[in-house]
Amino acid sequence: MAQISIRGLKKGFDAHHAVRGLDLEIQDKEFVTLLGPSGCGKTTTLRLLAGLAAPDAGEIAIDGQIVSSKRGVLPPERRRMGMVFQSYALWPHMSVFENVAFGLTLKRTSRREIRERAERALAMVGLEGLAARTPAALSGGQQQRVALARSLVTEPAILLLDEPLSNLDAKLRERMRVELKDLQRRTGITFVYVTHDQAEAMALSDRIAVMNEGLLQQFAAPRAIYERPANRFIADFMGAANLLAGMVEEVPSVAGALGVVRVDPTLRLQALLPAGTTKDKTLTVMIRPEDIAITRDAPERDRNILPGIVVSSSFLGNLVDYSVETACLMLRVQVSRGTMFERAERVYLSVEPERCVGID
Amino acid sequence: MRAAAHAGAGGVPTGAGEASTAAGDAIRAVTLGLAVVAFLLFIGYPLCWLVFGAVGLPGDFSPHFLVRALTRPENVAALVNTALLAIGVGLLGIVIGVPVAWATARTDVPLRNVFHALVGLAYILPPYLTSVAYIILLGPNAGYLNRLIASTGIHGSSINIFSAAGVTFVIAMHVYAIPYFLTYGALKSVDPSLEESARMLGAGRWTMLRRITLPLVAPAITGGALLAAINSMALFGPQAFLGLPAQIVYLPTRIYGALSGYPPRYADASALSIVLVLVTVIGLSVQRRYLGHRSFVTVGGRGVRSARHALGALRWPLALVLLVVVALSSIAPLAVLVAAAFSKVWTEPLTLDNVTLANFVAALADNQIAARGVFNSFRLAIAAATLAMLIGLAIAYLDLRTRLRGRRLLDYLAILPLGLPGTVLAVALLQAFIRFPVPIYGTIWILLIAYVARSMPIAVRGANGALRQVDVSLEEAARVAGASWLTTVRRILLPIARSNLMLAWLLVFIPALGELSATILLYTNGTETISVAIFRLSDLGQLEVVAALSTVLIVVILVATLVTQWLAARGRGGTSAVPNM
Repeated sequence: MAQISIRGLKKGFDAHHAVRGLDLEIQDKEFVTLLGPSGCGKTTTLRLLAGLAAPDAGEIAIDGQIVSSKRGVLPPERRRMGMVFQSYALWPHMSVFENVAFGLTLKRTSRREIRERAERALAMVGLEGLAARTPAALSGGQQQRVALARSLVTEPAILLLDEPLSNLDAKLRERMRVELKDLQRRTGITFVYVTHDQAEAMALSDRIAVMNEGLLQQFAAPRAIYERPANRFIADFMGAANLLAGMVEEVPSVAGALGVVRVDPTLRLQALLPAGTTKDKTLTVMIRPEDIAITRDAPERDRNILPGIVVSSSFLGNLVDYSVETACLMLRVQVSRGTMFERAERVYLSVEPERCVGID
Repeated sequence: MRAAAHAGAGGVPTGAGEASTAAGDAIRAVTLGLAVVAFLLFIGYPLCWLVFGAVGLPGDFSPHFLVRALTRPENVAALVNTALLAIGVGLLGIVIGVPVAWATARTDVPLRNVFHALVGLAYILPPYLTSVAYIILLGPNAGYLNRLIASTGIHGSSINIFSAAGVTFVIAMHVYAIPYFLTYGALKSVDPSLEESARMLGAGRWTMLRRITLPLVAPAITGGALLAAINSMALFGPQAFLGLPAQIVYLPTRIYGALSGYPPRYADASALSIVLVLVTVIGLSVQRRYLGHRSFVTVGGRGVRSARHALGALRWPLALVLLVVVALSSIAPLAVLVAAAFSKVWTEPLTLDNVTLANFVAALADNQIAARGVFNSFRLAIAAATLAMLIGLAIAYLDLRTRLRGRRLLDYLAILPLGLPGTVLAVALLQAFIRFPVPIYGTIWILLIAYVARSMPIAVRGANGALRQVDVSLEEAARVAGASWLTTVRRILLPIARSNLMLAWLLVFIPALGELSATILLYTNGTETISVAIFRLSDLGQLEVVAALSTVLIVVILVATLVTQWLAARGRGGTSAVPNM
């Protein structure tokens, strides 16, 4: 069991407030990612969880037991957590085996057991046979695996990972994502993962906690965060987004039904509106570029239709990225390569109303 | 990758031990606290007494002594002599150091690496040994060179090393290495494209040197000369060995005089010390400002090599000039000391009849003062280096790994002894520990304290550098893996920093082994060091035994220096604290 409760957590450095009152409930065996731009407080939160820093206010409880509060902090060595550092933090004066075995040598463990468990941990990350090497003699990917094996060997209930993949090249990063996810399922360890890469967060997580300027923005499953972002910051941070400012003209009679937003004197969009929206309220309508269709002929009537002119296009291989000038805004459109459109061509953009999401 | 790791940690101040248990806190607090107490006791407490002493405490409070230090004719003479010495040494430092630096750094003069090493040797030799060597070379009547001059029959042209000029010259032969090394470093790091663009605009080689190169390295030259001048004021050895016989008194020897009479005049010594410290500190702050402008010199990144000037026919004449410089500053003094060490009578040439090992037997066994000196110097230097490094480590740890209030102040206090000549430190320690409840005054412990205090700047800087090499995440990883603070320090931090810590240890050990200026005021019967033995035996005219002692000291210093260089080279090439990808 390893369930984490964070309540009212605050931490500042000098004049700078890194974490400004964070509440978060993480379930047992859950893979949770703290996501945000640099300086959002995600790494500080992880260090507070590890016991490497003391909170200014608030508390952290593991399975109902308070481990960090203003009154005291259980030191990291007594928390039975594992941690993977961004720099890997492998000890250069020890071999791979010694690095992995270090945590076991600190406890009353027999030599044989240390050897068995260290070898099992190395096997788990696919590094059999490299035990005698020094960290400096390993590739970046291998170093990353040693760091992982070292944090797993003591069989922690919670594993903290601080941007563990950011120093790897793109290909290796994708492979390690799959392996990490798989590892978490097999071991049933609660993972708390820090990254600034939204694609990584979506690929790995059960739930994502999006943070900005020391505050939690939204805590939900990846799909919900992508499709129904709680605010403009999240919409913009989680991938590309067209953001149109508008004013509510019609409020739905039934909750969850579509309303109407005027984004331009000549243009009205049907859109999903946040609960409790009132008429004449100004808000933003988010449309993801890949949700927009582009055609030469006018499409069917039940979609939101925006006529426009192609301004530029770039061929990205799997996609074509167009910028289209419409009455209200320059819109970004991503479609699979099929029909190609020329610059200055008159086109129609259309979006399903459910894909137009109103944001406060 | 290391850069990335640092960038990742950016904005998140680290504190490896910010969180801990009550027990862990206690161990940490005791360990670090002890070091801080020792540090304050060894530096802060004596400095207070220096100031108290200068105003007449614990007797009557009076500005009388400070006024007298600045007005009494003998004191004014000492101050003037000291100032003239500093000016002379500074100028000589530029005249000798800069051309030699240019020659070895930027020309194809033959044997340039050998010359470079020999300048270093001149700096490593304790300057009082150079003084002894020059007494053998240029003593009136008996000196080798003076007899050589006399044999040519030119009368009245003998050189007397016991003179203000002699003191200035011998000190310059030691400290010219400072402007040399600073200028050398600056010349090496001038971006060659700055010079090449001047050539492209039509400047000749000499115009370029005068209008581009020299102005670029000017801050290093000025800063180096100032540092040499400041250094010269504190060098008690040559001032005493060569100045006192001619009754030429400098501030350090004047202070020594105030304390060697009976009763010792502590208040006068303290007041004079304050004057010396003020002059030193003013000099150092001016020097810092000059070196602060070093940013002109762009440090070339990827092996930017500045071109060497082809000297053509001038190669060998220039080499000859350099040979004269290094001969006067290191080769001749060394040769003379070694030759005298193996001679029955130092004034006779080293022929088979004259060879003996008796001087070494005397130095290491028979002569009580000398033998005690060797033993004491070794145990003091080893203990001082170890203790200084422990304190230095604690201060560096507080500075780099905790967020304790006042940690920066400690770090700053640790460089204070740079502005304290050994003589001044001794005056402070004497007064501080003469009334101390624990008997330290008159024992070997006061020497240990003096050596530790003098080496604090090197020890703290060295420990600081060593700890900076260890990424804090390495320690944090150990804590998360279950290691306590003490285990983390013992099994992670110290082993990784070991090579750099040993280097710093040696850098403290070497000067401690030959320390004279503080020792001479603090030793008593039974706690003589090598330097004291050399000082007292040369007073008695036993120059052969002095030479043997010097040779022993030089050999140990050379071996320690070579080990240091080897360690430094290994440290640069090998272990990096964060594994590279």
